[in-house]
Amino acid sequence: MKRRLMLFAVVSMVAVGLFAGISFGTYANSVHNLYDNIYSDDEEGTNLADVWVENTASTWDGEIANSLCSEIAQNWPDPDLPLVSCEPRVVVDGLMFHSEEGDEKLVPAVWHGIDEGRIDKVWMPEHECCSGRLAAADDELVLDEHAASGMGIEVGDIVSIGAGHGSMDFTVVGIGYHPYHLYYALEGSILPAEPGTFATGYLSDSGIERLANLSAGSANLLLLDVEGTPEFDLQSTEEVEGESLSQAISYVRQTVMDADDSSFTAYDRSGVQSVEFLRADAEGASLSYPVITGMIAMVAGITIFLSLQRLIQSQAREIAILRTLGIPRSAIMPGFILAPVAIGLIGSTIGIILGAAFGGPAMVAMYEEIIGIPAIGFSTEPSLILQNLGIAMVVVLIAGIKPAYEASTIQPLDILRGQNEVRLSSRGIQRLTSRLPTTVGLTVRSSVRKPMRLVFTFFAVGLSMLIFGTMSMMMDSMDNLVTGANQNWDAQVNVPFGGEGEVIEWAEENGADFESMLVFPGNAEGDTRQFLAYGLDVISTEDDAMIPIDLSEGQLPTLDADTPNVLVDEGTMLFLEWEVGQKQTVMFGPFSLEVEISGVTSGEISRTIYFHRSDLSDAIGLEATSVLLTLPEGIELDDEIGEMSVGITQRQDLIDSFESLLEQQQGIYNAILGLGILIAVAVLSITLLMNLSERDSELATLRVLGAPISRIRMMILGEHFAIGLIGGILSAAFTIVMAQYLISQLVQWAFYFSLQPNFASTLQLILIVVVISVLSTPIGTSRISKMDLVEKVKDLSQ
Amino acid sequence: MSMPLVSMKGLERHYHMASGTVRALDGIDLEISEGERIILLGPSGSGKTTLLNCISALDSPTAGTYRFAGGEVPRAPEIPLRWWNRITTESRTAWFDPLRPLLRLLLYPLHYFSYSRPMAKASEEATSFRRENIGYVFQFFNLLQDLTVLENITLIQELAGGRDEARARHLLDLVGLSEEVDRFPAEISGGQQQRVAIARSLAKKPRLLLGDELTGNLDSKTSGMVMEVLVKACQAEGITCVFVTHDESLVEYSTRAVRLDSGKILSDDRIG
Repeated sequence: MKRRLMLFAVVSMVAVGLFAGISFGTYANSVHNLYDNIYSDDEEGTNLADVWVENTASTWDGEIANSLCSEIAQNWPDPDLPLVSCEPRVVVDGLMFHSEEGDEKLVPAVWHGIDEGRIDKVWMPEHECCSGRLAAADDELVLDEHAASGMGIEVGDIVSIGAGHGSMDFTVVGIGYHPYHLYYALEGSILPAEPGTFATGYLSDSGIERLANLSAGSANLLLLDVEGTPEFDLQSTEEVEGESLSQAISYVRQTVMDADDSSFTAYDRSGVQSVEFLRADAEGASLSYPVITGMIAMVAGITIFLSLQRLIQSQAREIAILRTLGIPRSAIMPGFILAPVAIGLIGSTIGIILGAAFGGPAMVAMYEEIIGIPAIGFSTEPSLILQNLGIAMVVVLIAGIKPAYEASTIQPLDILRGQNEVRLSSRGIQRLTSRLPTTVGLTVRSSVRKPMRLVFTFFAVGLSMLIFGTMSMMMDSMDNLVTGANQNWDAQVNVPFGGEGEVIEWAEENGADFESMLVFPGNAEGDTRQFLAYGLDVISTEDDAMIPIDLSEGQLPTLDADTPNVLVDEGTMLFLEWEVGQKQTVMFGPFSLEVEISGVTSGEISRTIYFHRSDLSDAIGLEATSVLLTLPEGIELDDEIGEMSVGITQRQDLIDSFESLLEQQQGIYNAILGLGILIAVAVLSITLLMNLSERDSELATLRVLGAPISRIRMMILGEHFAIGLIGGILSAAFTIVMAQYLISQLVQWAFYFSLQPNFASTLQLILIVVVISVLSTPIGTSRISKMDLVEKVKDLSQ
Repeated sequence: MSMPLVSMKGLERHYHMASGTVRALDGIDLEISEGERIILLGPSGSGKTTLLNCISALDSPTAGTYRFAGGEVPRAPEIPLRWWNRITTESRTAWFDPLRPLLRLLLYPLHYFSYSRPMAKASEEATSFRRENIGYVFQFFNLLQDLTVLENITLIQELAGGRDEARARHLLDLVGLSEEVDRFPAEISGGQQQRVAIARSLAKKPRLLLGDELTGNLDSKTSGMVMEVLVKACQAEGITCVFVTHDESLVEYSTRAVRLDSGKILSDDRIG
């Protein structure tokens, strides 16, 4: 029964490893293919731009925009990377005035002006998700499918939208997707927006000009398309992956700077948040599925290894007799190699079938649910199955080799004389425990009797708890980060340049607390990666500040210092290798500014530098881009403030998004937690029961000599508690170190995250291992209670 | 006349095997007085070890009476288990096999209260009996490898309810091992290990010491040395001894030799 249970456990572990690998792998491959298809340059794809030139402070008029495109095309530097086209576009932040069951909602929005261009087209696949046509007239728009389904809007409906110049009605003529908004999140947020809390729409050129009150041909974005899909520089690596494209961007930057004095930034696709986020997600999934398969297979491998060792111990006498009778080593080894191979093949087959039939489709379905785009044409590829099968079989085979070798090299005489059972205990541990009562000393010594087995067990438990712990710790840490749970504002009202006065007036009239904020993109000198500079009126670590700063090093910046003092987030410090006290030059388009780093902040997911608003304002010539509001009881945002703003973010929406995401993922989250615990239960129980069964003769001796079962129970309980505690502490330490390592491998410039294990999570991990360990005591003691002492005495005396 | 320490009348022990019932003990009448050293001799399968197991209450007789120092010795109750065995063991009705695990699970509480629990209670009573009255020496010494010589003795004292290191040291002195107290079993010879086992069996002052082939794993010179130590220690502590052996030469260390065959006493001779 016990052997069958052990067999079931290891087969299940292999199956779970394959299941997880196939499921994640199917997901990773499917989304990779999906993005490639959506972004591709062909008729079916959207032809994602290769270089973006964004005017960060104003718009270019039509003449300048066209002349910039001509200048860029004229001296294009790389004939191997020919420029196909340059298209001026307008993208503006704004609002959608949405009525829902009589309630007027102000939904933050981004409006794109898209003519029938060749770059960054609207994606309207032949699928039930999408319908209609592109916008042509100046009162038509294509609404993004995420927003349409979230708000229940259909083709033919009329919607009311704005971009800082009042509200206007537009007819929805189509529903589709846009390559910038496949991952549907507010700018700066890593959470997908709750349905109905964010809108994007794709208007005709004339439509966007009417909405934003712009002259014909105006643009704040130049899209450059080069032939094919060139390599681009990944923001998270030291290497320059797309050297040709980087050189082209440098050329574009210089050309625009020479031709125009507007503040602008130029970047490749790694600078587009949604594109970069999905790439990082798909890359993370691609990197993690072999690791997950390998990790679970490794736990199964360790369990197989330990089980085989135990099997060999229990069959040592039979093997010794076979060897004495002249059976060659080569005849003994295959039997022990065959066992893990059979376990691996059975487990893998089950895992592959379940993964391909259920896991992969479930992961893709969850992706569709969370990301909100149809995963067209996903499949589990044979190469993925072979890769996962290969990993699992190699691991289980390695696990079987050593025990099989040990079995084949058994010395018959040693076994038959009982010499194999004679061993010298550790003198060091004896000395350490010699002053304790003998029962306690024995408990401690028995706990560490097989150090290698314990190390393997703790490693396996650590691996299984890693699955559980990383998830749990990440969720804990993310809660604060993504919802800004410690912040004290209700709404961030974005304003057109110079428009903050009206919002402040509204705030004063309605008794709301307010604080102006200046947010502006910049980059370090000699580095193209973009950060956001936040100019705050109050930089404070106090809990009641609108944005309390989590200062992890250094001090708060001094106001009006000769060299402006700034706080830099830890991600930026890490990627740029900056240090506190250093002076660095930062660029805001064509403007450069020397700053002194007075401290480091933690808790920012995006790259952030905090300025005193007046310092930042002096450098870029703008007063504010948004106003933070804390609304008094009973006051709500109304159409008036909506019409004067170019986007309003409500903090409650961020919290709702996170909670909704958690709810969506609760099932898989619980499954992963449960899986980690189940594997830890299996591994730890097997090892503890093996320890006990190895001590059968020792415990039988004590029983025959009159040791009461209650005292033996206490000894075993103590031993299991000690093993659980040591294992728990080591597992928790292993989980924290490994989780931090894994996260350090996954973080990007655009998404930096550091794991801050809290006491409760760590204690929870330790307690789980202790509880698993202690709970296996009754199984062990029941085995001793049921021990047939007559049979045992025969063993002891014959 | 003083009361015998061990008194057995018509003791029987039967084992039910597939091939039929084996009568391992078949009507044993035996009385042992305090201070005696009895050697049980006989060929393999004669019932020596079964008798020793019944004396130590490791095994329960099928029939007959067994009193120790005038008191009833605890024995396992006779509880029929046919219904449980029918459910849990293989049978010819293959269609029923898939249902066995479920039935086991459902009926386990009944099995637990009707069989496991009373048996565990009886087993604990027998353990208490051994703890209070019996010392035991095995053929293969069975010392705990993680404990030193001294700790092997203090462990038994602690488990029996009271550590007495001075007595442990005295016993080691008695068996000639006062120099080896801090050594591990693996660091001393087989003869020395068996002497430690003797000291361990005396640690809680038993009234009866039992040995099963206790010199079977030793050469004849060492065997003699161990037996001398055993006799000396038992005399010094006033302990009654019963030991099982194939070795006729050990008769010289006993005061009485009992020979068994086929579960019956063939002869019972006083020595010297």
